[in-house]
Amino acid sequence: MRWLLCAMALVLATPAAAEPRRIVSLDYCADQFVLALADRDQIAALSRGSRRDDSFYRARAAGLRQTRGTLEEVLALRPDLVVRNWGGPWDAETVYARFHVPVLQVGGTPTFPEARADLLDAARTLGHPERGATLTRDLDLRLARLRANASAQTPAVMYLSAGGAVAGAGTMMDAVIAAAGGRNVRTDASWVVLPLEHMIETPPALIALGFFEHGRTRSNPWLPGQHPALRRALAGARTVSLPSATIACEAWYAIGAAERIAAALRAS
Amino acid sequence: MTAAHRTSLALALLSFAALAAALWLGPTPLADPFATDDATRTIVWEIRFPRALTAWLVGAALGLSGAALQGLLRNPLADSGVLGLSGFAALGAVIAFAFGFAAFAPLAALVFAFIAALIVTSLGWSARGPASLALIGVGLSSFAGGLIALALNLAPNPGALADLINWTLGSVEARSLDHAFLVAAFLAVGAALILFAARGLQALTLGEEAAAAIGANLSRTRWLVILGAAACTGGATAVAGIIGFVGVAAPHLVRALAGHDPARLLVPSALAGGAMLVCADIAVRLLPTDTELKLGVAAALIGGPVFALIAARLASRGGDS
Repeated sequence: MRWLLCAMALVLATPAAAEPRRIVSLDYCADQFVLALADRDQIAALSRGSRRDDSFYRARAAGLRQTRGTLEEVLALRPDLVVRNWGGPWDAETVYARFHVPVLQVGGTPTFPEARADLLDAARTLGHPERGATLTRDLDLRLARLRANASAQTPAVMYLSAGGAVAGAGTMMDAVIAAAGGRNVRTDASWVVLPLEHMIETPPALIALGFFEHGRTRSNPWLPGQHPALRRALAGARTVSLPSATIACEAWYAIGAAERIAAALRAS
Repeated sequence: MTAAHRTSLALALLSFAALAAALWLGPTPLADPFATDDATRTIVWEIRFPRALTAWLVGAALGLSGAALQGLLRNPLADSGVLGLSGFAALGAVIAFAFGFAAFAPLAALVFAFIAALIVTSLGWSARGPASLALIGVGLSSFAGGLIALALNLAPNPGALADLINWTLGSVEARSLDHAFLVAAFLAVGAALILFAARGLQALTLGEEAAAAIGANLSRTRWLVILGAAACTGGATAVAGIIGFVGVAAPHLVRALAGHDPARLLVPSALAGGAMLVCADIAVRLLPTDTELKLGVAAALIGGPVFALIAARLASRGGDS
């Protein structure tokens, strides 16, 4: 009995893992993790990109403070956690360690299992593991639904951005195409430049377009996506436009892009 | 007191003023930068001071190497960029980033700057004149530029691309005293080598043959200047990335005041480079842009027009700059 009382006293005396109360995020990809997982009153500031058109949770960013993300401006906010994907100094962890501020590195995950683990890890660090669990449950369900509805064939799919980049193996877009039940036509590692001649010679069953409807890219006539030959090829091909917000960062919500591709494949 | 001494004194005072202003000015308004509360102490002494000091040291290293190389090559457009030193230093860092060894980027920058120096000096050993040495450097610089572009082209993900681009645009944001000590150490080594070559540089103004005739050791001068410039450029690029223009502009800006003797231009050029870069960094911090401008960009934006104006004024007087 005595040992039980001692154990209980010890448990009660141990403070719960403190959740961060002043979170600053350094780029709009990191913003999405913070907006998805943290309470509003935990957020000291988001990046200036948090309200961009292609920010997935841009509606939630309204009214929250923004920062340029320089060391001085971030430290002036007295953060207890800095969240980063690509923003801030490249050696952010070392830099902020000098000021005893931990850095949570998120994103940059090229597969759904990695994105899932990343999300759970971020949720734990931000003090809301249950929110991470809810989001991963939703992700698992949606992935399972896509698998269940996929046909036996795997039609050839190509992802093309307005800037002329085509997704190859080892990218989240490759995982998105696979999750949708398609087969990525490009097997090269990483991103490659638009193989225009090859695409016209052997057109894929479906071309998934990224950022073609985005204001900044739509108005730029010099982008490879505006090439007259490509425009003609796209006019005659089956295409699906992916919501920019689902593909601007490598994260769990890219599942929305997979569902869009799957729906387009089913409709064919 | 000579014109060079007066210029050095004025530029030293300007450097102190710029460094003091850099403690005061920044995105966070401070009523009293010498207040003793924790927040002010952190902002002023742990963020602004190391950053400003690093900017000054980087500018001084680039100004000094620019002045030395202009004297060696007898070419007013020479700087460490022309000899491929900064291009190779940046290439070293970019390779480290591209292969996932970001922590070794500064070391790689230093090593590659010295590799470029060895290549330039070895290939230029039999070169007939400074033009051949500069041409070898231009070739190396283009080669490094091509490889950097290739690395950007093949960046594995947007995060790596952002790191690579940030490095190539140059910045002293978030630098600590450790960074400042690193540049200072290489500036000290580089300055010692270059100052040993000062008399050789002075003799070279007579032309290579005349300099050799009066007993100047041209080969030794060449090695000292190029290795010294490599130490300065490697240290600067290792910490701040690529910052162009300061190396070309600083010697020109002081030449009108300190005279044309390359030996007497070395110290004023270093001081001018330091002051220029601290001023550029203050501007970067205060400009209300969405993301902070990169220092390399700001240095060119501020220094470019000023340099063109001075060059035009000197040209209208009938002298070269």
